[in-house]
Amino acid sequence: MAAFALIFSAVSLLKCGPRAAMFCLAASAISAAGSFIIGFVFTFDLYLDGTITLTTWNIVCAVIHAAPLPPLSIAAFYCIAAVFNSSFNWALTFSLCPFVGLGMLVPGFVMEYIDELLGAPELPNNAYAVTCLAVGLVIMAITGAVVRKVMKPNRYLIRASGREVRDP
Amino acid sequence: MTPEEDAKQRRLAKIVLVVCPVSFMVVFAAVTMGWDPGIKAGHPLEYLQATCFLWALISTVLPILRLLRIFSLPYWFAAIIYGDMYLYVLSLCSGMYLNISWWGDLTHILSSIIVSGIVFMVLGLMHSRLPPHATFGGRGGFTAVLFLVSLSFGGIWEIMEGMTDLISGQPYMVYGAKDTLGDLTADLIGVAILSASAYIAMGRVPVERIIDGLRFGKPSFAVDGA
Repeated sequence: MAAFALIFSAVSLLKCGPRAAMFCLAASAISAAGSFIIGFVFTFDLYLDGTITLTTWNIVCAVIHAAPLPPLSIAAFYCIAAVFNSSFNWALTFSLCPFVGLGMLVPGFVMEYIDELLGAPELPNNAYAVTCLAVGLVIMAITGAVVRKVMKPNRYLIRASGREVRDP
Repeated sequence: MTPEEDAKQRRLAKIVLVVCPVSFMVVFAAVTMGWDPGIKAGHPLEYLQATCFLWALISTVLPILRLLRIFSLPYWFAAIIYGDMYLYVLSLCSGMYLNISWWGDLTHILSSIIVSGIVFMVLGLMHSRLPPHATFGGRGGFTAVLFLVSLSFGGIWEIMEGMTDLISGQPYMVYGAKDTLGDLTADLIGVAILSASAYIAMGRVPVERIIDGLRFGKPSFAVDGA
C-alpha cells in the first residue's frame, strides 16, 4: 500500500493537480497509520502469546489493509490519466474501480511470500490472505458504487488536467 | 460476418459442444472407475470428480453461447483456453500438482496469463465501444489498467479457493498460507508477462485487430444479407 501511495504521490507531484494530490495524501496517511498499528500496536505477537485469536487478528489486519484502497484506486485513475492522457468517465471508473483496488493488495502478499521464504514466521493457515482479499473486495465494491453516485449525475471526467465536467 | 463464416463458426461450435464435455466426462468416469494417480497423490476423489464436472459444464456453456449468438472468442484464444482446461484437469487427475513441487506455480502462471488475456479482450471490447469523451489513453494507459485489473483476478481466485474450503469444511483447494501467497506471486508473474506482451503487441497491431473475432451481443453476430 505504502509503495503504491509513494509511486502515485511522486506522479501526482510531477504531473497532476491538487485533487489527485489530495487522494494520494489520504492514501499515504492511512497507509502510514495502518503500518504503525500493525507494526507496533496490533502485532502478530499478540496472537503468538495468546492475547487475541487468529480470527480477530485476521479481521483487524484485513480492515487496515483495505482502508487505503479507496483513495489509492482513485489516485491511480488520476495518475494514469495524467501520464497517458486518458479520460475516464463514470462508467469506466465505476466498472474498473473494484478491480484496480483489489489488484493493489496482491503485491503486498508477494512481499510477504518473499519474507516467509527468507525465514519470517509462517502463518498457520491462509485465512489471513483470504480475509484481507474478501474485505478488500467488499470495500472496493462499495467504493465503486459511491464513485458512480458522485460521477454520473455530475458528469465528471477524470482527465490529464484533473477532474472536469463533461459538456452536455 | 459473411454467411459462410457464420456457418463455419456454428459447425465448429457444435463439434466443441460434443467433443469437450464428453472428453471431460471420460476423465470423470476414469477417475470414478479407479484411475487413481491423483488420489494416490492426496486429492480427494470428490474434488477430482467435481473439477471434471465443472470444466465439462464450462466447455458446454461456451459453444452454446456462440450458437445462441451471445458471445464468442477469437479462434486462437479459444484454443488456448481449452488447452489450459485440459492441462489443468489432466495434470490434477494424474497427481502432478502434489507430486511435482513447481507444477502448481507453473499452471498458476499459465492460468494467470490466460485470465489476463480475457481481461485484455474485455478491455479491448470496452475500448472499441467507448464514447468520444472517454479513452484509455493509448497503449500505455491501456496496459496500466490491464495490469491493475488483471492482478485482482488472482485475488478473486484465492477468495474462491478459500471460500470453497470454508464452506465444504475440507482442505480441497488450499494447502496452507504459503501455497496461497505462492499462487498470488505466480499470478503477478503471469500478469506481468501478459501486460508486457500486450504492450508490445499493441505497438505493432491496433487493439481492434488483436481482438478481431471477439463478439458480444446479438448485433455483433449479424450476418450479411440476412
